[in-house]
Order: sequence, then C-alpha cells, then structure tokens
Amino acid sequence: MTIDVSAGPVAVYASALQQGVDTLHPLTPAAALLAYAGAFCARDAGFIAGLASPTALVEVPLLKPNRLHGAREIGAGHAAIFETVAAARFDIEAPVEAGDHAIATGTLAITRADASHERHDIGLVSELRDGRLQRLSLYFNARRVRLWSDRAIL
Amino acid sequence: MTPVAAFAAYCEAFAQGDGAAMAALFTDDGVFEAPTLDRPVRGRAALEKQLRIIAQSMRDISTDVRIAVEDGDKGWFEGAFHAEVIGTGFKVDGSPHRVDFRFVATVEMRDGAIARLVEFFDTRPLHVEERQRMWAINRRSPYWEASVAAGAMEWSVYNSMHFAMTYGRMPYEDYAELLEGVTLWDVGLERQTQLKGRDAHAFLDYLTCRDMSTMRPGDCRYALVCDEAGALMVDPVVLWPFEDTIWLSHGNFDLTLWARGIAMHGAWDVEVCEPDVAPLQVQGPLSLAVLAKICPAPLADMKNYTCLVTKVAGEAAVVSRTGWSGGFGFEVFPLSSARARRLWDAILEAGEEHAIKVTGPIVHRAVERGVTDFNYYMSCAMNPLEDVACHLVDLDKEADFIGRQALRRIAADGVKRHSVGLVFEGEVPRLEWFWDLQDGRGGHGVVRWAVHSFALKRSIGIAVVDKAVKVGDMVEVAHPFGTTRAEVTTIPFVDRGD
Repeated sequence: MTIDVSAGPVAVYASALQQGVDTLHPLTPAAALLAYAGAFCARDAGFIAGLASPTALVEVPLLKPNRLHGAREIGAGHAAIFETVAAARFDIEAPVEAGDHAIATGTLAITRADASHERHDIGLVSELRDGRLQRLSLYFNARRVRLWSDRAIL
Repeated sequence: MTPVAAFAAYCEAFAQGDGAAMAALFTDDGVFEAPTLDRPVRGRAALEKQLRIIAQSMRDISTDVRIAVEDGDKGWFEGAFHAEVIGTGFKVDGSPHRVDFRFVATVEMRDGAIARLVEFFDTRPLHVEERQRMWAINRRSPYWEASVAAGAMEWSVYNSMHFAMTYGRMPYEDYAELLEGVTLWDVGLERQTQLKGRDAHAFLDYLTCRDMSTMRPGDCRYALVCDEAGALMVDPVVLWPFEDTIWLSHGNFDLTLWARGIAMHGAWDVEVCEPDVAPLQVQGPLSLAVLAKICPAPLADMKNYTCLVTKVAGEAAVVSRTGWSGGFGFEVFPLSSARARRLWDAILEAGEEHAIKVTGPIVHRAVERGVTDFNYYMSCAMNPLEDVACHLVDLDKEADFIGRQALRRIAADGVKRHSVGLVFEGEVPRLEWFWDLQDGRGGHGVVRWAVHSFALKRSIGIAVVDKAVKVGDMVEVAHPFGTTRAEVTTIPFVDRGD
C-alpha cells in the first residue's frame, strides 16, 4: 500500500482505513505518524491499537499513566481520551524522516466533551520496527491543563 | 553552519552556562521559544540574558540528541535533557532536585545562524503538579488572586496571612531577575502598626531601642523592638509618610497588639491601629523605569530609606525606597486595599516591556546581603545586642525605651553571643528549622538562615553563636542529612552591586 504523506493526517488515516488496518503494513515512519494523528482526530482508538506493534509504546503527556505499552493498553488509553474529547485537530507540517524515525511539529487543538477548548504547540515522533509502529511520542506542555482522563488507565 | 551543527553547538554552550556563546549562534533578530518561558525571547541581547539565566540555574547539564534530521535550513531533533537545579536545597528525602526530560526541538537557520529555535516538552513533571491548597484560617492579601494567576505554588503563613513563597521557577531565575531586571512581590502580609497623634514620634522612640529622635517626616528607618526583658521581638522598617502618622512596617509578630497594650496603659496621646494598607515591593535595577511610567513623583531623586506620598496609577499611595532585597528598589503602599489590585495590574502592565517577574521573597539574595527577618515566636531567645543589627542599639539615647534596663544589665555582664556568617564546605538542604552548630572547643550556636549563594557559588548561612566563636574558625553544623563543616565569616557576604 502506498500512502501519500502530503495529504495530511486525516486524509492519510482515511486512506489507510479504506484499505483496512491490517493492510497498512509495512509503513513509512511519516505515514505512521500521520495515520496516528488522523486516527486521533477521528477518535478511532481501535485503529490506533491496530497501527501499533505488539510491543509498541505510545507516550501522551495528558494521560495517566503517560506511557502506554502494547496494543491493549494503547487502545484502552486512547478510548479513555476519546471519552472526554469531543473533537481534535492536528495541524502539522510534513514529517521529516531519518531512518526508522519521523518528526513533525505543529499544533493540536482539542474541544473537550464539556465544550472547553485547548491548543498545544506540539512535537510528534514516530519510530518503526519491522515496518510497524513501535513508538509514538507526543510532546507538548501539559501544565495547568486538566488530564484527558480523570482516572488511571491501567 | 548547518542546523545539526548549530544545535550541537547550542547544547554544548548551554551545558557550559555560556550565554554569550549561545547568543552568538543566533541571528541578530533570533527567536527562542520554550514551554518554560512566558513569552518568546527575541534579539541577541535578550537571548544572551535569558539563556544564561536558564543555564546557570542548573548544573551537571547534559543533552543526548537521539534523532537529528536536517533539510536545507531547518533541523528537527529529539533528545533527552538532564540537569540538577541549584539552590532548592535538595528534595525532602535528600536526593538532588533534578530536571530530566525528553524533548523535540526545531532549528531554522538563516545565513548560517539560528533564526528560530523552538523546544517542545512537558513541564508538568518538572515541578510540583499543582499549587498548594489553602485553608480558610488565614487572611489573604488583596493580591491573592493576582499571585495565583501569576503561578504562585507554595505559601507560608506570616502575620496570619497567606504568604506566596515560590512561583514554580528555578531559584536562580528569580535571583537573576532581581539583580538584572525588575520583580514584583506581594508583601500585603507586611502589616503596618500605625501611630497617630501628638505623641506618635515619642511613642515610637519608646517602642524601639534605636535612637529615632532625629527621624523626620519623609524618613524611613530600620529598627529593633524588644520586650521589657530585652528579648528581641521584631525588626520593623519605620516610615514617616504623613506629618501626624508613623508606620512600623513589621514582620511576623503582632506589633500592633503589643503597641496598643502599651499605649492603653500609658499617658501617650497616640492612637495605635493596623490600617488597611497592603504593600507591594518593586525591586531590581529596572524598578525605577517601571514605576516612573505610572507615578508622577520624582522617584529618581529619592534617597535610600525615604518615603513620599503620591499617586501610583492614579491610586493614592506611599512610595518608599526600601525593600527586602538589600539592593535598589521601592515599596508601594496603596492607602486602601479596595483598589490595590488595580495598582498591581498597572505595575505589571508598566513592567511588560522589561519582562517584570512576579516573585516571592528572594531569600538567596537577602542572606547574601545580610538582610534577615526576625520574629518573637522563633527567637532563640535573642536580644538585640546579639543580632546582625546590634550596632543600631543605643542604650544611652535620650528617650527611655522598653527593655533599656535589661539590655544595660546584659551589656554590663558581657554579651554572650553574636551573629556571624557561615560559608559551608558543601551544599546544605533547605533550612526548615534551625540547626545546631559546634566549634569543637565547647562553643556552640544556632544556624538561623542557610541558602545557596549564587554570587559565591556555595552554601552560606547566618548563625547566632557564642562570643568565643570567631571569624575564621571552623565549625560543624548538624542538619537533617548529616554534618557539614563551615568557616565563620562576616556579614554581609557580598556588596550591594548597584
């Protein structure tokens, strides 16, 4: 499968979704990063879990705990986020790649279920192993912002 | 220089605390952005100052860049930063106060220099997660909401008022701002004991063991107040703002209650009360530039330890050339709390162009300058002749004063202790209660203040010790994490520097 990484997170996610999560692999690091961001915007925890390798790590500042290991935790963690997030939008520049890694920066705008808004300047890093998403790290300042889940995920 | 090379050079200069080297990597109009900053830093001079302050707030700095990508004039990085914060006095378990975090950074180059450097990281794990919660058993200053909005994290109690101590920054950041810029501090907890009436001046002289007879309207004086047994109670700054009104701007002691009790049982024609006056301190070399924008009084002509009545941002206020920094600065005393918050906001607005910082007490600088604070409730049974300011005691002044006979007896018998400085051989924890001191020859004492000195790059302290303990002696100080040797020295530790 070929994904056009110039299409942006939502389009990359939609394209990948159309062809089935199981057919995504192998991915490029940039495509994995954008697919994750697109799935986040679509609040699709199942897709994100399917994107990850069995030993993958996803790091999200506003989650407790911040580090989700393996598809099960990753799926549960994002499901908990999406219970409290009504809408999300990533505006990020085209990722740059270095070997198995991709980096992108931009902004993430969130509308919570209670209609409050927040906007973060973000950095995103994806790392692939054997063609699957092994690590997705989200960087932003979560200080003085209410957690995306008010309960522990694990 | 390529983006990857520039970022490597930046990390290297940061580890060395070399602000000039960091700034030299940027274009003249270079920009630095990070989550720990209130606003982007623009221009080489501002970059040199800000980056130096951040870097010198820490030690043992290292950066591991794990991913580095560049494409033309832009670079992207993922890495891990490691450092130890200086000056917090360890965590409560004695472990170092570390700031270790991972980050993403981008660098945009122009003509071989950094035009923009942006860092992305979460500051949540770096400091306590939320501000200390309060109980409704103490008073608030009129600036309470403003200090919370400014990020106050930790409070103490002072004169039965909440006292904002820290704002979630590293100690050196506040210290450097005090020495190089301008700070705003809520000292609404510093209460005024107001003496009003025909005998106000004479009554003041009776309350204090310093000769106040030469004081005139417009003057300010530091003074010591003791009880009838000669025990030191408090060390107020006295202001004489109006012809018929004197304020003793005092520390953590109910001086008004003490003075009212004395006035009630004497023949003084004086009214004693605590007026609704909650001061602010605007301190630092740029404090004049800030206040001059919103105050019509000739502040530049004010001498140290003088005061005047004026308006600040249109609000009636007393302004004094005083403050708890041992350096240049002002205190502003709005004459009512009702519109004091408006005055706070006006000072912040006036200070915007100078990047004014709201801070708590900058104890590190105060101790370096030998500026302390005394209260009866934690006195070590000190008398004024043992204090740092013992030279202000005038046993032979014309007016009688409370404690004169007791102090004369103490002086005749020989003063047993004196206040000295200490330079520690190692770092010491935050002083949460006084530490015992021994000199190995039977002499002992009590350490009442201890901080990291950013000027001397080592820990320092102030102790009251037996007279036999002399400058140059080595002593051992027992604190919660062990024993640290210290050399006895004089106070202050550093000059004013202004």
